[in-house]
Amino acid sequence: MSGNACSPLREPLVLGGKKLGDITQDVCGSIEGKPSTLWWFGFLLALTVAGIGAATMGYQIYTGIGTWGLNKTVGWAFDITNFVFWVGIGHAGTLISAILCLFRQKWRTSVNRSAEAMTIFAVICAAIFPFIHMGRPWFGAFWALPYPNFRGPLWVNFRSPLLWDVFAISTYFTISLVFWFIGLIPDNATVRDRAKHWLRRAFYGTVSLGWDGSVKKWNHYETAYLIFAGLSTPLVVSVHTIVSMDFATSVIPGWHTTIFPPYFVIGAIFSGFAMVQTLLLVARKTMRLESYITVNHLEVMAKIILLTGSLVGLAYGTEFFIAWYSGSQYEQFAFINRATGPFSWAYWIMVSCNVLSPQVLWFRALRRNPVVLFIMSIFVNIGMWFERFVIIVTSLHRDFLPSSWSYYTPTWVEAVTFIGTFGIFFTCFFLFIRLLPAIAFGEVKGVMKWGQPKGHSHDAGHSHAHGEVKHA
Amino acid sequence: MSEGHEVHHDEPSTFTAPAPVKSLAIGLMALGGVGFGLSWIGGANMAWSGWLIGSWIALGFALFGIFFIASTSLANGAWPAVLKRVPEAMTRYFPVAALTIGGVAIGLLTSHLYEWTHPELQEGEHRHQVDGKSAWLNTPWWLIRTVIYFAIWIGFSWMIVGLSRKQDADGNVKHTFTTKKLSAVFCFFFALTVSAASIDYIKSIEPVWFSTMFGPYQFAGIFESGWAMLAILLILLRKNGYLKNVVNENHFHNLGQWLVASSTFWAYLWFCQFMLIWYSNIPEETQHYFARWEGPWFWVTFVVNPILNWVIPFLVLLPRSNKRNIRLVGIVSVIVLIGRFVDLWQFVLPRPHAGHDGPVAHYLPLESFGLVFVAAGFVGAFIFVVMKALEKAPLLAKKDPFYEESLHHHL
Repeated sequence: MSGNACSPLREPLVLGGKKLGDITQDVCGSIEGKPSTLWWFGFLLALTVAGIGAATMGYQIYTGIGTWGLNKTVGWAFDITNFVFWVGIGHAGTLISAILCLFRQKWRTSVNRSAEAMTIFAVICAAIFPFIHMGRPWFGAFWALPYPNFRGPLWVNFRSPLLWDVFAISTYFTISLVFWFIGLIPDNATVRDRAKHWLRRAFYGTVSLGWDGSVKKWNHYETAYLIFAGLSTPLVVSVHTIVSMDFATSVIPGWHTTIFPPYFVIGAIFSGFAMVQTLLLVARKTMRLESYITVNHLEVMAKIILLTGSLVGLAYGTEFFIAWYSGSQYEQFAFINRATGPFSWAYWIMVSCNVLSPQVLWFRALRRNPVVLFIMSIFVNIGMWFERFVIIVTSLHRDFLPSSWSYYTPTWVEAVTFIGTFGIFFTCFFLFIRLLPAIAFGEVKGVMKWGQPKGHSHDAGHSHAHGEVKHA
Repeated sequence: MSEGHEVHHDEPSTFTAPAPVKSLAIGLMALGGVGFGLSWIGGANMAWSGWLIGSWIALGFALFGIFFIASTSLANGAWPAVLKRVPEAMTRYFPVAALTIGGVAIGLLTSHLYEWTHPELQEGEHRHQVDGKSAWLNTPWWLIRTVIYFAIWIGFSWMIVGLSRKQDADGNVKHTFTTKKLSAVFCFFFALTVSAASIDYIKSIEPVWFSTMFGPYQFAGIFESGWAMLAILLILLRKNGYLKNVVNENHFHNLGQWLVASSTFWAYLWFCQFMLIWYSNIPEETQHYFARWEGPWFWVTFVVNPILNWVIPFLVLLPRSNKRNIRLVGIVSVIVLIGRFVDLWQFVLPRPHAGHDGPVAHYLPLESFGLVFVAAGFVGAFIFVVMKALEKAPLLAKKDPFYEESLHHHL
């Protein structure tokens, strides 16, 4: 797209009359000085929570997963809920970097780097849960990896979607990590060139792979970036598709429904964007990045949250309608039980957080209000956790035999483990914003002129359009 | 590309439906008329099945037109501004679509097209299941819903296209913002009406079967075939000297990308719906696929359908140079439209519970493939209506605030 014919309605992506050098200084400067007290406070807090979580994980691996609140009827609960929750969070990053790259959405440049980092950390948190759930994780390689062995017919179960998960998520993690790393190379080289201390030069020299900024390198880089975007796109969709199949391939009412694959993918994007909002709203405030992560960026993400939240609502409605339409009494019971049974409190938390709370985003003033967005994003994070809890636990706790109906209450071990993963997530995130350029400034420089007023005649048209935008 | 950014403004701005396109449309309609007449040889159910398939395909084009305008407006998409008259004209087919669905209603009232209109013909457990749906599947409520759907579709497209006409006159950018607001509200209703209409017109053909994926799956079919129809209309216009200088290979590159994306989306939903039902193996759900698993329908449902709707568009249009080859995009689009027919044909014609001597026959592919001509007749009618609608407004929306950006669109 040629920038010289940019519509008068386009709004700038970088505010505050920044020059090219300012961007480098703003982003690199923040990782060159000494960390602030606020950073130390946050980092140490996250590290403490992560430490408590890790100790709890050690305890339950040592003692066994009998420390959980599972029973014969509810054999899956907190662990898989947390797993799906974290995998879902890990969707926005690669969506922003890959799919929005293919769609040529220029606004992605200021938010993609931190969203991708978030993806990687979230997938790490997700992987912890199936790992612990194996019970004896030191045997994990036997159960999860297919390799020629001397145990006769003892292979991993290729028919199980749980094994497909292993493949899907490890592929997704690998590609996301490489994609993120490749995106970092030119920016790391800039940090290297600015470095004074030999250690910094050595570290950033290593992670920039000898980048010299030549035309040839840029050419290769952009080709590789586009190929990775193309490869990552089906992966983003495949991961939650296969996670949904963990449930949908069963015959359990409430789990087996054909809409699950797209519905899970949409829900994952929804929760991922909510988490991106939560983190970026904090980061832009504390790191003074308001010129780069502008209100327009927040608004665009708010629109995606409104869209995906409403689609999730459509899926809830479809499931309910088809449960009635199917005429199957088991299906009907599963859904009525969700809304009115002993776990109805969880169901209504889910509906209010996921479907109702994003509806405030129909109003432009609220979409552009960071406080509203922050509160709403927390609601969505909560709601999406409850969505998985509702699907998993309420479909199990009253099974086909009323004599085996039961209830599920998590133990402190499960709760602390879950909280601990937040500690791990934030520890990684705090390290990331200190060690690596949190904004892809090499890419931001490429979109600086977008929507900026040029010359007098354009200027008039622009401010006119600007005035009008306020009414939209 | 070699063409560069030189833009010619000497485009003909008024439009008269070109004689060759009109002849094509009338020829297709004649073919459809003859095909519909002959299809009565196979019985009323066969004839109305063809009518239903054709009506739903062409209604899908109009739905695509308004959805295209609404979604690009919401996403601030600039590239379609030079060609936006074409999707606008596509929405002008809605009143005709209302008439053709009226035809389906005649089929519903006079034949066994929809088995739920005659629950007494179902046996045992099926009778029970069809009766259980009677609160939704009953003739008066079906007719009322049809009226509601068309009121929403026609109302919103009338308002949104009207704003575009106003902008032609006064050039006020305000209309762009109003369009955006209307589009947001429309998308809400679009999701509900298309999900429900897919059940009413297509899924309820097989009243015992159910699948939560069905609405998204039909939407994917509408979306994919809509892109193909849009590409074909643009090629027809360019061949006759219109939009030649403003709609170039960069715009076709976008159309090609969307054909790749939408066909893959269709294949994704098609596969997931089948795979989950196959894997769980619950009789209430597998009955649908069982009717297509053995015998000649297998080849149609599981081989021809995915090849036409996904394998060909995906493989052919994946390379960049092929997406910029306008003739190739056109050929793939025709294949995708045939694929759209096949997708609906394999859904509507085989009947899992057809009695051997009952009124609802289980038609085989060879005896019902002729319905493709009936569907072609509806495509002809659609092209005819679009050409007439294009005459009513300037072909270029020069006052659209995204017009300049769209003119210089470059990938």
